[in-house]
Parts: sequence; C-alpha cells; structure tokens
Amino acid sequence: MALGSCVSLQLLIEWIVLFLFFSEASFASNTEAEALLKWKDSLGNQSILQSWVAPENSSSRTLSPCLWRGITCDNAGNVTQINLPNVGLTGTLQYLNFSSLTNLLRLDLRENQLTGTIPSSIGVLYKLQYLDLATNLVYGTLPLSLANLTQAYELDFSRNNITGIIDPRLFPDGSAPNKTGLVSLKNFLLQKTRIGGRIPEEIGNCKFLSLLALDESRFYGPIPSSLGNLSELTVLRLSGNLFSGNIPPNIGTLSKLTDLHLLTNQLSGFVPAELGNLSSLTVLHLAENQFTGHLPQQICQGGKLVNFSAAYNNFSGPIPVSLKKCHTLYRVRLEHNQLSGFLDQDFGVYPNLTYIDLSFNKVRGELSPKWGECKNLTALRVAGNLLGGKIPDEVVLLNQLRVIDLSSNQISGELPAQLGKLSNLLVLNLKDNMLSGQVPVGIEGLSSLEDLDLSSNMLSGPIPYQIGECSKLRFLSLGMNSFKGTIPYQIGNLVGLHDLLDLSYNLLSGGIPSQFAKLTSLAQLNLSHNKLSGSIPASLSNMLSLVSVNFSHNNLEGPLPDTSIFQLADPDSYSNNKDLCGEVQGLRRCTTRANEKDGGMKKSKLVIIVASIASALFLSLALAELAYTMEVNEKSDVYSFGVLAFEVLMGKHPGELISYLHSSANQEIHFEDAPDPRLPPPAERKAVDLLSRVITLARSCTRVDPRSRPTMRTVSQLLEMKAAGSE
Amino acid sequence: MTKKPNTPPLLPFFLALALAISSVNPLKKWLIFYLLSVFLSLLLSISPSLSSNSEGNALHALRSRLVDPTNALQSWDPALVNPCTWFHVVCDSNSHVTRLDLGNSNISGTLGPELGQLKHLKYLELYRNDIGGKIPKELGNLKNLVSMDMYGNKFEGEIPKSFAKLKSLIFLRLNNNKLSGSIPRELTTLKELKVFDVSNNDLCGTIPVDGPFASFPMESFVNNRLNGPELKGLVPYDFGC
Repeated sequence: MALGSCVSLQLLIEWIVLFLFFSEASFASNTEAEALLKWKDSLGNQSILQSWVAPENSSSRTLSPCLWRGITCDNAGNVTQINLPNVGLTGTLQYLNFSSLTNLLRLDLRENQLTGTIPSSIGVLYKLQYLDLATNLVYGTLPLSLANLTQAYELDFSRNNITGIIDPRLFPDGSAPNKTGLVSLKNFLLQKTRIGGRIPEEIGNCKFLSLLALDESRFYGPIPSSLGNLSELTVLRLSGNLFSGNIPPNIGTLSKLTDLHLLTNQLSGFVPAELGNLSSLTVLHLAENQFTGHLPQQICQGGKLVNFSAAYNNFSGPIPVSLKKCHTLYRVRLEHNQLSGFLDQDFGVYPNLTYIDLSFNKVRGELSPKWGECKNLTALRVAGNLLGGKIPDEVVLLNQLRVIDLSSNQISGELPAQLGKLSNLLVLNLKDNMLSGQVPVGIEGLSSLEDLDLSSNMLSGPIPYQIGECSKLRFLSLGMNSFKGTIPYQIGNLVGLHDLLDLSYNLLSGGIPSQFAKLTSLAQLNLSHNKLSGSIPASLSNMLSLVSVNFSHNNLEGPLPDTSIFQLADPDSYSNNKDLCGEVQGLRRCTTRANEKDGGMKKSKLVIIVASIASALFLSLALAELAYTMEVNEKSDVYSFGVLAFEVLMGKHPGELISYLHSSANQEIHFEDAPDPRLPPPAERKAVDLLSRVITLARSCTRVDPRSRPTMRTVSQLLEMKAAGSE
Repeated sequence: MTKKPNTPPLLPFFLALALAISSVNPLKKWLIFYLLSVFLSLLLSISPSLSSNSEGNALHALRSRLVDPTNALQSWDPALVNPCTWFHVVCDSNSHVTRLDLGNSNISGTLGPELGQLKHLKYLELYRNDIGGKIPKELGNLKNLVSMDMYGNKFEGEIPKSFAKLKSLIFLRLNNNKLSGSIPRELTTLKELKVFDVSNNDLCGTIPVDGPFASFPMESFVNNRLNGPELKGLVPYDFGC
C-alpha cells in the first residue's frame, strides 16, 4: 500500500511539474496568441487568417498559435516569426501589440495592402533581426524607436507612401559602446518612397552595412563621405534622387563594392579616378548627371565590369584604357557626351556584349573587323561621331544584330556584299555618310528589316528590285544619293510601308510604277528631284493613307490622280515638272485636248467654222421668231377680249358662233342673233343698238388674221365713243 | 536629362490663407486654419512621377498579356531603368515612350488598360498580328496619339467612345477585325483625322457624315453591316444596330 501511494504521489508531483511547465509555456503563448487574435480582428475579414482561431471550449492556458498560418515558434513555444508575404492583408499595424510579441526575430509582411503608420511601439521588438514591410500602402514617418532594433540586420520599407526624413539618431552615434542605433544593419532598403532629406553622415557608423538601396525617393544633398568607411558595402544604389555635389573619392576604397548606381541625379564635378580601385565592381551607372572631366581610366581594373553607363553627361577626354581588355562587358552606354578616342584602338573583343551606344560623341577611327567577334551583339549604335574608314565585312557575322545605327559619320567604301545575312536586323541607319558603290544584291535577306535609311550618301547604280522582298519594311529612305535607272515596280510589293517612301534627290528615270497603288498604308511619298517622266499613274488614287506627296523637280506630265490628297496638295509638291495639269495653283487646268497632236489643230479649225455658221443661222431664226412672237402675243390678247365680250353678252362661250361669223360675208350683225336666253330681251332700241356695236367690235377682235384685229387702244377708244354717243 | 519635381502652387494658397485669417472672427479662424492645413498636407503629398519606369511597368504588364512565339519582346527587360533601349520601343529626349512598333510580329493574346498610361505615345502600331479581346477604352487617354493601327487582328467588341479624346489623331485604322456595334458619333470631333478605315468588320448602324467623315472614301467602310450614310433628321442614326 505504501509503495502504491508513493508511486501515485510521484506521479502527482510529476504531473504538477509538467502542468506548471506547460502552463508557463502556454501562458506565454496565450498572450502572444491573444495579441495576434486581437490584430486579426482589427483587420476585418481576412480569409488567409482562417487558421488563427481560439478553439471553442479551451481554457486560455492551452491556446497556442504555433500551428497558425505564417506563424513560426521556437522550442519554447514563443512566436519568433510572422511570415505573411503577398497574402492580401488589408488594415493596419495599429492593433498589433508588439509588447506581447517580444520574441519576434522576423516580421515579413511585404506585398500586401497594409495602410496606416508604422507604430512607434515596434521599437520594443529588441530581438528583431528582419523587418520587411515593402510594397504596401503604409504612410507616415519612420518612428525613431526603430533605433532600438539593435539586432536588426535587414530593414525594408520600399514601395510605400512613407514620408519624412531619415533621422540621424536611427544610426549609432559612433561612440563606444553603441547602446542604441541600428548597429547590426546589413541591408537597408528605402526604394521608391516619399522619404527625402539628406543622408546623415552617421550612416557611416553602421559598420556591417552591405546593401544600401535608396533609389527613386526624394533624397538630396551630398553623398555622405562617411559611406567610404563602410568596408563591407557591396551594393550602393542612389539612383533617381536629387543628390548633388561630387562623388566622395573615398568611395574608391570600398574593395567589396560590386554595384554603384548613381544614375539620374544632379551630381557634378569630376568622377574620382579612385573609382578605378574598385576591384570588385560589376555595375557602374553614372548616366544622367552633370559630370565633367574624364571617365575613370581604370574602371575595369578588376576585370569584372559587366554594365557601364555614363550617358547624358559632359564627359570629355579618352575612352578609359581599361575598357580595351574588359572582356566581361555586357552593356555599355556612353552616348551624349564629348568623349574622344578611337573606335578601333580603344575597344577590343567582347563575347558577352549585347548593347553598345557611343552615339553623339567625338569618337574617331573606324569599325574594326574585331567587332565581328562580339557574337551576342544586338545593338551597335555609334551615330553622330567622327568615324571614318569602311564598314568591315565581318559585321555581317553578327546575326543577332537588331539595330545598326552608324548615321552621321564619315564612313566611306561600299556596303558589305553579304549584308543580306543579317536576317534579324530591324533597323539599318547609315544616313549621312560617304558610302559609295551599289546596294548589294542579296538585300532581300534582310527579312526582318523595318527601317532602312541609306539617305545622304554617294550610293550609285540601280535600286535593286530585290528590295521588294523586304516585306516588313515600314520606312524606306534612299534619298540624296546617285541612284540611276528606273524605280523597280517591286517596291509596290512592300505593302507594309507606313511612314515614308523617299527616293528624292537621285538620278532616277523612267516612270512612276503604277504598282505603287498597292501601298495603301503609306503616309508620305517623296519622289522629288529626279528625272522621272511620264504621268503620275491614276491608280495612285488607291493610296488612301497618303497625307503628303512630293513630285517636284521631275519631267512629269499629265493629270493628277483625282483624290483629294493629290488635288489639294501644296503647289510645291508639283513644281518644276514638264506639263502636269490639275486643279492646283500653278498647274494648268486639264482639258479633253490633253493629248495634243498635229491632226488636232486642223480638226479644231473646221469645228469653229461650222459652229459659227450654225450659230448665225440659229440667231437669225430666233430673232425672227421673237419678232413674230411679240406681235402675235399682243393680238392674241385682243382675240381673248373678243371672246370674253361674246361670253358676257351670250352667257356662254361663243364657240361655233365665231366661225359662223367669220365665214359669213355680213359685216354687221345684230344682237338678236346671239342673245343670252336667260335674260329678257332689251326693251329700248338704244340698248339694242349699243349692244350690237359691241358685238361688231367683238367680232373684229376675233378675226382669224391677227393683223386685221384692232389694237386694244382702238378698242378702248371705240368703246368710249359709243358710251359717249349713247348719252 | 535630370528630372525636376513639380512644385505645388503654394503662393495662391498662402494668399488665400492670409485673407481668410484676417477677415474672420476668432471662432471660425481655427476651423479655417485646420481645414487649410489639411489641404496643404494633401497638396504636399501629391508626388510628381520621378521616373519613366512607370511606362516600363506598363509595357511589362502588356508583355505578360501577350503571347510572343518569335521572341520579339525578348529585349523587354524590366530591370532596366527605362524601356528606351528595348527593341520596338522609341522614346523622346525625356525618356518617354513615343512609339510602339509591333506590327507584323506574330503576336497573340490580349491588350490591357495599362497601355493608356503611355501619356506621350504618338504611334501605336499593333497591326497584322493575332491579338484578340476588346480594345481597352483606356487607349482614349493617349492624348498625344497621332497614329493608331490595330488592323488585321482579332479584336472584338465595340470601338470605344473614349477615342473621341484622341484629339491629335491623324490615322485610325481598325480594319480587318471582328469589331461590332456602331461607329461612335463622337469620332466626328476629331478634327485632325485624315485616314480612317473600319472595313472588314461586323459594324452596324449608319456612317457618320460630319467633320472629317465627309471626306472618307466608301472603301473605308465596306464589308460591314452598315446601313449607309447617316440620314440626319429623318432616321435615328443607329437603327438596326
């Protein structure tokens, strides 16, 4: 019995110990769980936090969040990590009780839609190592309490609406021992925020700082020279701000620096040559500033430079000598400066190079055959320089090329015979050079070509008809050369021509191909300053997209096509031709005698004579008719009066009576002959007499021959006399 | 080529503030002061767009909607600071995209609203591909657009009325698609429009006759279900549609 009670007592003690142990652990977890649940409630409906629940009948002692989504605990059951990136969280951090979560090592809430400010209470997370709130909608300023996160090695607040400045007190003050400040900071990211102000020099006290990314925010002032003390710095990104002043020379001491991004700021002065000491440098971006002086000559001393940009500055002087053997180069952008140097001597072979732009500098020399070994080159841009020499045939080996722009140089010689091998080429711009010779046959191999500009050179020979097979051409300019012969009709096959077809200022002869009618997408057509003859084909009225034409200074004749673009074009579009006609100022109007020949002259004289005689005859007949008609018109009025008089007396239309009266020889008639039967006969003799005379008058008015009828004047005089006589 | 942020119009604001404070009784003064300070903070928080990477983002979003079997968009690297070195893209001297040339590129997929963010775009050339879906109405935001060529695709749905906002447009070619609905009357306000082609679609209703439409040839409208020119005052213009 005693043993049994011993065992049970032992068991009881064990249970109590275990119970106390676990209850303590779960007690800690319970306040953490409660804090998390309280936060969850404040966020509203978040389906992703479904697993965050308190079981129904549990006592608060058994509540553990360690199996909840995004929650990680240590062996003691403390919450050490909250990882909820990109889960659609909305709401704020306002109700996240950090003081209940002081075991947190990692808080990752990036790529959500959290708003609100960063609570100052976050400073109690004294163990926190990793804090990522990037890509949210957080606003307000960075709380000063962040300085208490002395263990934090990574802070990322990028892509938020955070404002304000970086307070210098966030960083250690340099005195030993550092009690506060982000002493452990390795990665500090504030990209694309609204934070501004200067970077405090105190940042130089973050001895372990490796990545500092402040791109595209609103920082201004100088680049702190204390950055030169950060010997662990590997990535320094300050692009897209308003930094001004010089690059501190001691940046050159950062032997671990691989990425230096200073793009798009207001930096000025000389770039320190010390940058050549950066033995680990792979990416250097100096473009879009106001730098002057020379480029650091030893920039690729470490032999690792991959990406180098210095475009859009005022750099002058030579191409850095270290670039010649810089075989790792992948992208180089030095355009829009005043760099001098020699293209063939200052550059070497770059098997990884995909893009190089040296345009608008003062580079001399020529394109050396070595460029043919840059097999991965997709863009070769050296426009607007002082290049001479020839285009080497080796260029055609670069079958990845999409863009060649060597315009505005002094390149001479001929186009490479095998140019057609560049089947991926989209843009070939050789405008404004001194190229001679012919366009090589095989040009149809440029099957991807969209833009071809060979204008302003000394090219000669014919325009090869094979150009009609470059079916993707959108823009074709061959103007200002010495091309001869006729315009190949195959150009009409280039139905993709959109922007421009310019063959102006050449020696082209023959006619304009009617096949141009197929170019229904073409907007601008310039054939001026050639020796084209014949007419402008009427079929060109099919070119419904044209907004601009120029046919001036040719030998063209004939009518313009009848669409409005041709008819309403500027007179300058047609000046100095042979005999174009149309409704345009400066051109004569077209008539049916458009094709004048010798026989036409005689024919027209005959027509004139016949027409004159006919007109004379017609006129005389017409005049006679007119005279006759006038007389007849007046006397027919008299006739009508007579008929009317009869009607009044008889009460009806006289009709047959008139013809009876005319046939009878009697000159006199009496009223009794034609009374109105509805009226009683007149009683007095005088009335009968009067009425009879009216009848006589009426009769004379209705005589057949108009000339024997009286005039109305006579009629009215007679009626007045009769009236007077009757009184 | 540095970028200067836009400064908000602070002078008139302060003038208004001074006037308000001087002319109102003390009780209302505080209310006005509070409201004005809220307004000020809003004003200061309006951010100018510092980089043209937003245009790169828009093009990158476009790329994700398109299917590109010939890798025409291979050079479209979003890690680059702007899209101006991408092939088929042309920028102006301020690094804003002015041309998008993807005609004849074997591309399919659809377009999205993000194209409307390319505020400086002048030439939108997407012709002769296999792009389907609707034409996004956001394209009406491209107020600098001179040429829009979407012909020879599989676009469906209606011609957006928002195209009436494209006040600089000279060329609008939407022919050879599967567009339906009527030709929006609002397009007659586009004074610069010189070339307009909607032939070979499934459009219905009548053809506008006002403004630039007076000069477009009949070939621009053939092969649709259009009911001839609009009869003004006699017949409602979109009957049968």
